[in-house]
Amino acid sequence: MHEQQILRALVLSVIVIGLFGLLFKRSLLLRILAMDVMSTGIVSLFVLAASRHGRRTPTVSAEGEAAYADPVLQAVILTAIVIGFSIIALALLKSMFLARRFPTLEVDEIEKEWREEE
Amino acid sequence: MIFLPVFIPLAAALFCLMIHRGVRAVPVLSGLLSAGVGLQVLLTGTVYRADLVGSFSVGVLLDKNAAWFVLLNAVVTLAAALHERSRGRPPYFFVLLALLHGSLNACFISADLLNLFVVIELATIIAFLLVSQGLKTRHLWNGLRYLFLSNVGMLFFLLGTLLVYEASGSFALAGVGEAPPTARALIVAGLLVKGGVFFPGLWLPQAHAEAEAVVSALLSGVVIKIGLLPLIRLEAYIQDLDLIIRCLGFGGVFLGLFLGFFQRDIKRLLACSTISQAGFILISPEAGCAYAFTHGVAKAALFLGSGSLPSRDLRQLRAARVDRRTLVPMQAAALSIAGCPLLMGFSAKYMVSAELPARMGLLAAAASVGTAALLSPILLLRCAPAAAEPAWRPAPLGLCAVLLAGGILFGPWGAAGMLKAAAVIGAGLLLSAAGLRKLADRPLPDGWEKLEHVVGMTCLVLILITLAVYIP
Repeated sequence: MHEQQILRALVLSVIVIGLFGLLFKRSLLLRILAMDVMSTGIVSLFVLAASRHGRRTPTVSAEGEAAYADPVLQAVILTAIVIGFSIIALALLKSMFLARRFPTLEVDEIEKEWREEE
Repeated sequence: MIFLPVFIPLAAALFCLMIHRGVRAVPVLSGLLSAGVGLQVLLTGTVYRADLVGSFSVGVLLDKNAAWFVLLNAVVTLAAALHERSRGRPPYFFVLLALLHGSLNACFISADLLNLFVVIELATIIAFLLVSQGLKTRHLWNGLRYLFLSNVGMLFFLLGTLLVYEASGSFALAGVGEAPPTARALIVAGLLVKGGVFFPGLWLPQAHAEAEAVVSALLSGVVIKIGLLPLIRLEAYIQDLDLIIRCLGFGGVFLGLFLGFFQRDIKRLLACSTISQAGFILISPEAGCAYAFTHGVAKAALFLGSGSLPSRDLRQLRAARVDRRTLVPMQAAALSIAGCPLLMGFSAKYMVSAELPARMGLLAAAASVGTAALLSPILLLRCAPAAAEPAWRPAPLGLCAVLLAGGILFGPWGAAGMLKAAAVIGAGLLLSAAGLRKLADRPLPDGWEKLEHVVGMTCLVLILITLAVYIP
């Protein structure tokens, strides 16, 4: 249980670090990566929560029932990983288009100049 | 029956995309289908429900509340599709429109946290594609901002979902009540971002103002409602969240009004009014769904009309006159939002104020006066006779016909209510003439809309809600 709590604290701090990156990084690319760090933190938290009562796969075997990992949470997080992946991919794709005009992708620069038509 | 409005648009759009024909018809047909389903549920009061066998409360629910939203989705999609068909848009837009329609219907019928998370993200992605399809810098940047904000909100929501599952062993919305306070705060904050309510909704003015007119109509009309319906359901299930969400709703109402008075750009003014109206939807869970319907229809008409205006600057619009065929539907829609009798906005406002306790009723009346004052620049624009160019687009007029039909159907016909509504609108116009209108000449200090500020504001509200849930 002690081990679980330490791991949980670590994972939560990953989420907070991701959030801070999202708030304070200057480059759009790094902000997208920070968003990915944040969602990775949440994925790890789900995996951690699923393995709270055991780590075996929940299949019937000769050994009888042993403590198994929660398959529901893992199914949920599998969906969330796919969604998170597609969102990051889309954000990167569109920022490639933005990078034609703003090669450094500095957020401040974009915020200042996006109103002016190219 | 319950799955038809979700699967038919999605499947038909993909199928027509493969055979390269008929794509333009898909949004119209699926809109008609959803309208049929929504009307049937509203008229007969049937409740459709389907649960996964042996599930963890994962299921879908189509009741009266959801039916209002499905009907709204149908009406706005129909209007947007017809409006764009007459402009001869390339088929890609119609594919996205049909996909958006299907996934929004999915959002409205989902009744558990897991389904909600998946379909809200799906709708977000499609809305993002719609916003950024122009590939101009403004579209790209505002699309990215939208994606960032909603992703942060949905990550909060996902975290909350985990905590709820750990506490109650299911994904039911009702299970949120058993969850630790942090979980409730996370879920509410995530939905507030999607719904554009209060400070988490500050991304909304820029996103909705800079998108194309038809996309703004879809975003303001329907897409923000995917965050509001779950909040309304949470209010009904969980007593102690009820008061907090209502307070946030009032906060949103007055924040939207405050921001709106400083805007000179008509689309930004409409977007600020959306923040304020989204708050209004949350202050009364019972009447909120009907209110959301009227607001969505009226706001879609306003945004669609704003695309045909010669300029976005309200001053220039006031100096020049506006084509009658564009202006009249816009003014009718604005009157409906302000609560003018004979239009459906009046019936919805009446339903809301009928069930509010006395003190909240006073606040709501003050908010209605503010709404009328906010919209008065649009109400006071002057008509010019119809010109031959540009071609007239009848979709906003159709939306107004829906509002008028609803207003006549729902009444109420009492003289007291009508006088009160007229007094509210008159007070709003007077207030605007007395000086509020001059506020538009001094713009707000720049910079509050920066991405990091909006994300930071969302985090602050999350902390505030957590405190509010802990204290009792």
